[in-house]
Amino acid sequence: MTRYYLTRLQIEGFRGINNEGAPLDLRFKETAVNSVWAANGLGKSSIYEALSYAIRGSIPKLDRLQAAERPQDYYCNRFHQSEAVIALTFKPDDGGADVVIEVERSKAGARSVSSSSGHSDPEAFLRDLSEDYALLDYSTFTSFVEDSALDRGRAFSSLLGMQYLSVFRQALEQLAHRRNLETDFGLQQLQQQSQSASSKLATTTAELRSAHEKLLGSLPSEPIDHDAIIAAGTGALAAIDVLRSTFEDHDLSTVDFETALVAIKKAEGSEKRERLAQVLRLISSFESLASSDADKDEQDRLARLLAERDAALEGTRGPLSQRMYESVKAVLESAEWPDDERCPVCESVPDTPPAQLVEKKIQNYSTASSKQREIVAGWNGATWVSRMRQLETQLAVAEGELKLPHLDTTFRQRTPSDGDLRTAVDYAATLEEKRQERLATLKGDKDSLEKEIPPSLVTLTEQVEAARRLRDLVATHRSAVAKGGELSLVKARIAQREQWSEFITRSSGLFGRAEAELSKSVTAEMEAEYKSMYGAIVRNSDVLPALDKPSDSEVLHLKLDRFFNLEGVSARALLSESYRNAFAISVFLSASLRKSAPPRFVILDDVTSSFDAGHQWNLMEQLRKTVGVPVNPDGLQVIVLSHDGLLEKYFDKLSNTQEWHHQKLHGSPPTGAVFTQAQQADRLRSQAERFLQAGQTAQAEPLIRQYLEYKLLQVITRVRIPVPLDFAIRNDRHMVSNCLEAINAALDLHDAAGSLILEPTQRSDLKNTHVPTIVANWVSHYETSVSSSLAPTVLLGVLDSIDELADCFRFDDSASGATVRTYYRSLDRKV
Amino acid sequence: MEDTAAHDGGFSFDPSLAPKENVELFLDHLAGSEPEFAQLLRNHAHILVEGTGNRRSARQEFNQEVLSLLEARARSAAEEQG
Repeated sequence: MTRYYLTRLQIEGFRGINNEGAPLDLRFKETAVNSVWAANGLGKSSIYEALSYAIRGSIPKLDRLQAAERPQDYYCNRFHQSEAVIALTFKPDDGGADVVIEVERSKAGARSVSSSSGHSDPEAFLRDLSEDYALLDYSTFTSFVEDSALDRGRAFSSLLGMQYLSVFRQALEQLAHRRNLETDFGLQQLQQQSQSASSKLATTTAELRSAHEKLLGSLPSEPIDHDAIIAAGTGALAAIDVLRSTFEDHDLSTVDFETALVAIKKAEGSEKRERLAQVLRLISSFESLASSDADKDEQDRLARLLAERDAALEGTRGPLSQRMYESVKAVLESAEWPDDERCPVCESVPDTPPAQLVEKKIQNYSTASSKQREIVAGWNGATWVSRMRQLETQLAVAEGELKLPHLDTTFRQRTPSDGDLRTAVDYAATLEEKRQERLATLKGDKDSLEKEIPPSLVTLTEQVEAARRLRDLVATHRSAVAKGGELSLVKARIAQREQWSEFITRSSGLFGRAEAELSKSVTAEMEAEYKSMYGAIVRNSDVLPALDKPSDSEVLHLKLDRFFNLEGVSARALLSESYRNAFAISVFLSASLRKSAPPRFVILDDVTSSFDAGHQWNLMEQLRKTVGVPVNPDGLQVIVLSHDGLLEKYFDKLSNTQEWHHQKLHGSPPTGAVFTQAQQADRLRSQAERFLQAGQTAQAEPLIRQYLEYKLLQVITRVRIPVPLDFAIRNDRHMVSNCLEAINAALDLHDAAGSLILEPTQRSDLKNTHVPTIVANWVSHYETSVSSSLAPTVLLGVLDSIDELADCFRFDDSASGATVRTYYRSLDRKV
Repeated sequence: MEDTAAHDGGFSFDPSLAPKENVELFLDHLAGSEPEFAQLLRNHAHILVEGTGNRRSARQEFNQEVLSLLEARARSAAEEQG
């Protein structure tokens, strides 16, 4: 995979960097550790934010603002006239052509990305660079330590490049969650539908068989043939003389039974026969409402559900406690509560992690709620309950004695108890007793009527009513069988959904275990490296933190392998801030070295804030020797942003070597411009020249002074000229003469020792021309505040003199093939 | 990693693969026993992965796809039963 170094960054109009018309231009060497130093308020953070916006599309500090604070208004520099532009140049590590990407943000907040080097998909290119390790700041490390073990585990997965696995795992867990499966797939409703249809078909079949036997004297053949039953019933009635004409053009399903009864009435008119027919219909109806063996099963199922719900409820303490547990869970999962082992309510440390305890409590509520829903469904679909409803109507139970409305309310809207179920079962038994009493009465009526009516017509009327019931039951059964067809579809749906449920639950578990194992394995592999780096930074072998990755969970714990002679003590409680950050930095840098993702650079913003000078030094040495190219040829291009004054000394010390490239920011943000030293020098000279050519000496003087100081300090730094201990704190108004004194003293010293490497002409030009010109035309005037007497042409000459002075410390270097004008290594060594 | 493979009954990630490649490896593993379900995950996983901003709606959108497949399978099974 091609990886990319960041070799150039230009910023205009973004955050604290105004630079109207003249972008801040930072160059980074791909084969060196790069440092950028700026005093507070000089735009260093804006550089990091520009990189964050360009590569990640956001600035975390602004993301955290409230909407009312209008964070969108603070991306562009408030004093800049037009859109913000961030231009980045990336150099591939396979020798390919540079990729230049320009990211713009309009004042209205629109982001646009283009590539002046012709990259076909610059947005995707930047997205590929958005690895967690590419941009690291102090808050990254603080969060890593302070976050909950779960958040730390997820952040770590992301750091290892396993974020996609973590996201996938969480998605599978969501899919496999039992409540989600029930909600999204309606399993309960389907099961209820299936149970209700099965029960209805069984009851209707039994009734049809009974009616068939009653009319025709035998059970119907199996499988039940509705048309055959109608035909047999029709044949039986059509064979009777009195009814023959009625059934001449009709069968059982189309005949008007009232016509048949009229025919019987005509044969021997009687109101008693009419009453007999009515009694027979009622007998038939009450017989169909008899209790059955299936009632007991349904009642037992409800009793079991009630018991299961009550068992779950025993682990709960009401809705207030439920809200408390859910709040505790939210606190444990948030960054507000950093200690996963400690309970946020009582602040004790239980044997079982609080998250597990709370989850178990919440699960009890969830189970109770689920069982309650099943109870409601079971009540609504129960055949015996439905029968009670019909019996209350048919028996004409008095208003004050009706119990079902109250039971319905209890089972559907409240929390029914065992007692409620017993009440319902007892009430069903009472209604059954009443049904049997009414049936006995009706049968007595029937016997009386039959005695008063000629037997043949009594039987005939009974046959007609039996036929009517058979006809009705055939229709009901036909409908139930049709629904039975749907039932097989419902059952197939249930089977499929349960198959998916089993599949996704198994897959989620499998994926989770595999991901945790992989993460644990990678953590173990990098253990030696991060411990070594941490040891090199803190240099204290008595304190050794480590990562602890359980194999069955996403969490990542911090532990202490060693804390003097103590064991089993809390890392977060005992580690000082600098040790914590040293540990986090070691983990992140070790992880970044393992990556082969597109960014071959790591940008570190103010990561040493909590470090003393020793730890700062040790970290920089680790960056130089372990992490960064060129010392580690497989390492990363390191870019360090810092405002630390002590670190700047370190940067200055190394800035002349092949391994380190240092830049310092100057300027006046956010209203003015920010420049690097090199940019600043060119800018100072050209502006000073413009003022002088326009005769504006007063405006040119401060710029000339800065330019002189820059060039002289550059000579001192590059050729390593020693300066007095109090050099940096002397009166800065005399900085030019201070520099010249230091340079002259060093030249004289080497002259006396015969070790001066400069060409004789360079030495004489310095001594006889350039230094005297600057002293005469600048130092003696400006540092005594009488420079106003100087003409612009004289000051233009001073500018030339300082360049010529600096050039006396350089030579033509052809070592690399091409001739490059370069500074001597020191006053006694060329290279 | 060998231990993982043993107690999971046969699946572990390959540390040398990128995360997306490892997910593909996982789906290949699932396809061995449930090819249709594995393919469903493969075809629609993007809904879940890209929908982290609103997980509930992403999950419901994904499960609609699952329901479509399950309904077709259920009808086919019911028809086979006659």
